[in-house]
Amino acid sequence: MTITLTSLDNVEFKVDKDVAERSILIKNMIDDIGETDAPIPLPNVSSAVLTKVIEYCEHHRHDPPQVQDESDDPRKRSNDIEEWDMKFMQVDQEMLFEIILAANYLDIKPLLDVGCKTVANIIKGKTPEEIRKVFNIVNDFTPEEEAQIKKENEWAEDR
Amino acid sequence: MDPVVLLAPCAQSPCSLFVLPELDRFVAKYLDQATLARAARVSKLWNSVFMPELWKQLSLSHHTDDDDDIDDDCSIFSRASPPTSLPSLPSSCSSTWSNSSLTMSPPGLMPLIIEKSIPKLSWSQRAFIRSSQNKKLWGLLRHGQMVQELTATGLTDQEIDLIRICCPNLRILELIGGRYSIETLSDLFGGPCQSTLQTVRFRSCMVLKDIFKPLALLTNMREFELHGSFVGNTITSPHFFERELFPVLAACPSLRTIHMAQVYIVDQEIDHDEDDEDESSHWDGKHQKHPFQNSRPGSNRDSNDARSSIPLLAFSSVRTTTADPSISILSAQLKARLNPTGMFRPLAPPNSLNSASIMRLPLRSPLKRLTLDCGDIPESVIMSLLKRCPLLEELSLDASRTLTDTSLSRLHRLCPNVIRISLNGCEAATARGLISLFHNYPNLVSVSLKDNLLSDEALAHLARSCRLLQSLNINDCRGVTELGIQEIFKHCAMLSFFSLRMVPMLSYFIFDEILAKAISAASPCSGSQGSAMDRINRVVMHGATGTWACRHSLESLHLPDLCVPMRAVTDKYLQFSAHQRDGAQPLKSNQVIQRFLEQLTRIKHLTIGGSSLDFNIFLQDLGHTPALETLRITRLGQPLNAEDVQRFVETVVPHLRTLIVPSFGSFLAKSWITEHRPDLL
Repeated sequence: MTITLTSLDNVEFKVDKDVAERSILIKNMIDDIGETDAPIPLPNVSSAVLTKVIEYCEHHRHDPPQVQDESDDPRKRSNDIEEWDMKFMQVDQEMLFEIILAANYLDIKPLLDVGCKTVANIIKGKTPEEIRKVFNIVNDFTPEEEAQIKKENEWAEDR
Repeated sequence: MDPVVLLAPCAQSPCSLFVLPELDRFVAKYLDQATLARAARVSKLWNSVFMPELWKQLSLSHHTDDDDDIDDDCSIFSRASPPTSLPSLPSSCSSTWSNSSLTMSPPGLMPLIIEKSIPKLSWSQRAFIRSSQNKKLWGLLRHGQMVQELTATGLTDQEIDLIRICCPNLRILELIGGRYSIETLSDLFGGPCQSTLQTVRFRSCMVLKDIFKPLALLTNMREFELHGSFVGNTITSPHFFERELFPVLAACPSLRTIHMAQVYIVDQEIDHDEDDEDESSHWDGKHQKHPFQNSRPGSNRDSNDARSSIPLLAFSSVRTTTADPSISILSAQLKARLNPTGMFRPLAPPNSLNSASIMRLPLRSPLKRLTLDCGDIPESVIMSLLKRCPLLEELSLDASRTLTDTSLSRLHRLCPNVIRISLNGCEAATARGLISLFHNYPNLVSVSLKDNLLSDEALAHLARSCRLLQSLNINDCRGVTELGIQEIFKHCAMLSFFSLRMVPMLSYFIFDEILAKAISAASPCSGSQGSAMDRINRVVMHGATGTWACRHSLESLHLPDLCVPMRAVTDKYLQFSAHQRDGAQPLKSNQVIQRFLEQLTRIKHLTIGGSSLDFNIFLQDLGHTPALETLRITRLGQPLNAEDVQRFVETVVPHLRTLIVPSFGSFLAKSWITEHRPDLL
């Protein structure tokens, strides 16, 4: 069975039900209203982003359902991204953020995780100045403020 | 590949990611501390996002000039599971006392306010922070309120006092290795974090005298742990529960978990009360109920009900006034025969209740998880504690040497909801008590019976009455044979963890299907007293079909000590199995194991070993089990060579993450792994 999804810019996407149900939002919707031919509107997702998201869901359509792994390990690893996912995430920054926001909205936990891991990997190992450059951020601290924060957090940085 | 090279700086919405508040936490949880600290310097927005994440979890240790790296050691330590042995005291502790005595705050000093948002500190405390080598203390002043989880290692009273002032939002406090006075702890627990603290853990602490009194201040406490510590309280004393633990239960209605294990008592001196004579009369008071109960079986229950409705004080006075002189004589005789230290007064006499809070003691605690592993706590004391915890779901009474079958068989009346139970090393209990336990708890999910005297019959009862069983640990158990193990394999369709380390005399027969089929046809509890020959004879008499129930659920199997079965048993068995298979060649031990392993579709962690095992046969079908992550081989028949290992790793189990081979005699195999697949080690 196929499901029709409509993006923000009114583009229709036909996808298999099991692909669409990678999104918990859509899965719950289908569970609630029953199987229907009416298109499901996704007013928060543009067609460009939705194309990417569907590509991800199709590749992962046979993955086992994610086990609730809320173990108390506070610092999770970000270097265990699958090769395909890594390539999939090699997009420009705006698209990366859009994918993360869409994954959050559509409730696709594995995609959200991969997206956040990718962002984390970008931040890792960089100086604050390098981070600003990559994300195009203006430093709004006075030199004194920055020095104070550096001093207070020194214990964490000089490991 | 670093994805950054492909990223063009994004012009219009540089921080769009942080529009949704939960997304920054998703990113932050993948960042290490150093990255968080640098990210917090990027901009004000990033600072507001990452500073709380950086400071949320803090590990703080007493810091001196000479041990700069202790900090790192301790943060690793705190993440690890509870230490099994008591680590030596951090070297910094020796300097603790001189340090704090030098900087004792002079009384009546006006506290100085540094900044508006900064907590008030005394002059000496500020001087202490400034002179401290501990960089974390500097930041604590301004950011302490962000700290929610604190792991404190070997801190001084003075440092604890700073935490009290600077960290008003603590939720989890873990104190490792140090000595903390009751005054310091009372101040801390009565301070700003009183209502926020939910979890308190003491690990490997030195002399914690009377720590239970300050704990009663924490009205929102949910979890309390005391692991591997020395305490001044006499935990094995019957007084301990009524004077120390019950008030904590009463004062902390949210308390769900108590973990007390490997607690050592430093001060053996029992605080002899004002009323030594009075006490003995109350021992009588307890004993006099025995003949009474015998004559009226329901009376015990009645008196329990009475206790829950009548205030404690009233009940106690009722009890003392009903003392009958004639019964007293009888009870005195009873007392002479029973060991008085083994008895416990369920309710203290009014004159020994020196705290008003004990009076308001509720009789039922909402405790859900209890670990009590403190040595020789008298059985009656344990039972009277359990009587107050009817909602328990997880119960661990490891090393409770006094626990008898009688208690085990009536446990379900006190705590009907238990689904996880651990009775490691309960020497006084036998298979009989365990059998009735299994019958009374058909919903058990996890059972740990390390180092107990079991029987096949007990395992058969467990397998047949607890069909929801997911985890079973019978390490070091005696009295178990292949038949009992097969009962588990055959009936527990949910079993995912099964550990059989150091179970003596287990051979590959546990994996043989024909044997298993035969057993399933045999009567469920045909006893286990017979010799191995009897067993085989019994098996031969029956014939039926059946398979392994656990083959699609088992994820961890630990069976490191397979031995060679006795010759006579093997002969008889081979004869029988040849007959069953219509004269076909009987399977050899390695093939039997191979057959079993290939059926386990979800096995993740496997530990196996035995002196008759042939590496090239018994593991060759593991390719059917794609989930396998860890393989630990403890012993083999022949030494391993490099070619075998190479072929195995490359073709049979390419997804394996960890491989451990026997260290003795397999040098070539080991060096191949070291050279070609260091990630497996």
